[in-house]
Amino acid sequence: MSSATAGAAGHDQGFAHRGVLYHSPQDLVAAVLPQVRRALEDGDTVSTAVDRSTVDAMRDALGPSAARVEFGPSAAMHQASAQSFLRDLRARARHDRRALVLGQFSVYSSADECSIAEGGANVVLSDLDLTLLCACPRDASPGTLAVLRDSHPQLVTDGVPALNPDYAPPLVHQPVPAQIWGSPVLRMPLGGSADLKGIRTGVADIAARVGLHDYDARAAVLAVHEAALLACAGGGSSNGPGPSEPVVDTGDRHVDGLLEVRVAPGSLFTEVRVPRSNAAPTSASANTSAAVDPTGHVGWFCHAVTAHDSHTDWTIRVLTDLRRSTAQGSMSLDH
Amino acid sequence: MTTATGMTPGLEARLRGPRAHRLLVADTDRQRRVGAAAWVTRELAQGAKVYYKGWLPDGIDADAHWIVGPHGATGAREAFASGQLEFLDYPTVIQRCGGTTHGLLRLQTAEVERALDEGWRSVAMSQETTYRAMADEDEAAEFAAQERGYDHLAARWPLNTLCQLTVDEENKAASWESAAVHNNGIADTHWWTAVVEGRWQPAGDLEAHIGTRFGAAVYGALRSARQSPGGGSDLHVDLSAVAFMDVACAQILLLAARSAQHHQRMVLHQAPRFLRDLLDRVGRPRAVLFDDEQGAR
Repeated sequence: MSSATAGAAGHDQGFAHRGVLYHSPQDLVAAVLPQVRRALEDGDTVSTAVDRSTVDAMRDALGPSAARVEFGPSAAMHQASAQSFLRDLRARARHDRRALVLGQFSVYSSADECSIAEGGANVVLSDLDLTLLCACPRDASPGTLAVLRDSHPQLVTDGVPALNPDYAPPLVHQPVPAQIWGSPVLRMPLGGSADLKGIRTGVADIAARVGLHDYDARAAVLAVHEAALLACAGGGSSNGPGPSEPVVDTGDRHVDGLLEVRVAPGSLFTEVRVPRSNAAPTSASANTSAAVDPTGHVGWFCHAVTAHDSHTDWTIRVLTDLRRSTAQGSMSLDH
Repeated sequence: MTTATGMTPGLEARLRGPRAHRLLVADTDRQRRVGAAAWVTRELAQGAKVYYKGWLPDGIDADAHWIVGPHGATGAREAFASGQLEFLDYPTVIQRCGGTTHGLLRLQTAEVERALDEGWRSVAMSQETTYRAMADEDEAAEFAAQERGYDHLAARWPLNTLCQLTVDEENKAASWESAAVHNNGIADTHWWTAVVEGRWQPAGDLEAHIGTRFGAAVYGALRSARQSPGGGSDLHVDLSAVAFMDVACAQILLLAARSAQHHQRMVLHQAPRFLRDLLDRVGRPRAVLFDDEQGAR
């Protein structure tokens, strides 16, 4: 999944996630140089996490403009986990301008680890104005090459980004493991709407501890409340809330649900999960139908909301970007 | 969190307040009994003569009713023996008042006068959930007239009234009408209503779980504003005490205003900024104004 679109002048907008295959440092630099130059001309921030020989080739190719590029160590984005990878990328993004990041697949990471990190980027970085170029040597393992093909919506070929026909969008029934946001700081059972009061109290406490106050704290609490309410209703109204739509009414419905809150640097992440047997039939296609999105109104109060439907669970995830929240303070969080 | 009486702090505070005629709303019979017992305990302790009307299972005498049992009001058994607490079961009430609203008011008036003649400082009346059919508008109107009787009595004498509603046990029409009629004196677990300086004030946590009864209260408040003698028909709502409102309740509030008749408007006072944005986001109709907007009075 990539939210990138081309603006009126052909400039990237949103999150652009591109794969690059290369033979040599010079080959890699030639492939990405047009995008790097374009970014520098637009005033975007440009940073790299590539090996020393690629840095040297990039400096030679850019000349004096290389001074405006932040060349980091190649291992900067692959220190320990997918979580640190995503955290580093989020830290490189800017609110006032676009950012371009060039990284290399780590030789120290397994294909599975790369898959979680790259797939996670498609899900959790989609709100950023960021171009992420992921370089992979052509002689990498077959598994790693498969990750490159499967997880990048675009591939850079002959210096030009093009749609990748092999790209496999994230499956709604295979969400990125929640563990990439760290361990839960709050875990509460969700048996029904009677539990919502306690959940709101718990989330409000965490929101205060991570620095959310007043307006932003209210928004974060309401987003989680609405997500939990949907879970209690087993997916909610088939039409979703709106001025003329039916109100969600959970009645005395009992669910064996679970709510977990995680705090990662810069983000508050909540997951509500109920067994599929508790979900109403109307929710079966909750996230697969373009016309029906029962989570739509949750997005009014957070920066990202997703619904995942599987044979065993129905899961709603809510992400509040702490940095954007404190700066914004208004109900214009929709995308 | 509950207090020593088993009630939430918010509910306990509202039952203790100065309001003379309230509706205790509970999801379950157990919750209703906890609230009613606490209220009766307090009235007895404050020296009120308590008239309690409710249901008796077949073959059970009044002295075996739960209100005087181990899970009832503190001191109720002694009060029942001394005459401070009187119990009437509903079949007897209907028999004594002839089954009419006028007869009921006459019975209640006699009770108040007798209590004051006996030297009690004040009078308290509480009625258990009634299981009315509320089959048509005529029955709803009769019910409303009976409830107004408590207000008439309270205007003349020191009378405190607690009506009781168990949502799980009443039919939907009866629950709706009961919340609508008591719109300005609801005491529910996490939310309640009052009238403060002429403005209808919902308070506490307004969430989908109580959406139906909140909707009934809003509808009732709009109806009361239309029927109020001398006042304008606009409903002025004070939102300063709302601790939480979710999308469902925001939607309910606005839908009620949208469907109001006779060009009736709803003016919202002291709404926090987040609440204003929420209501705008849900879709605030032109009939709903914030107090700082042009045209709001």
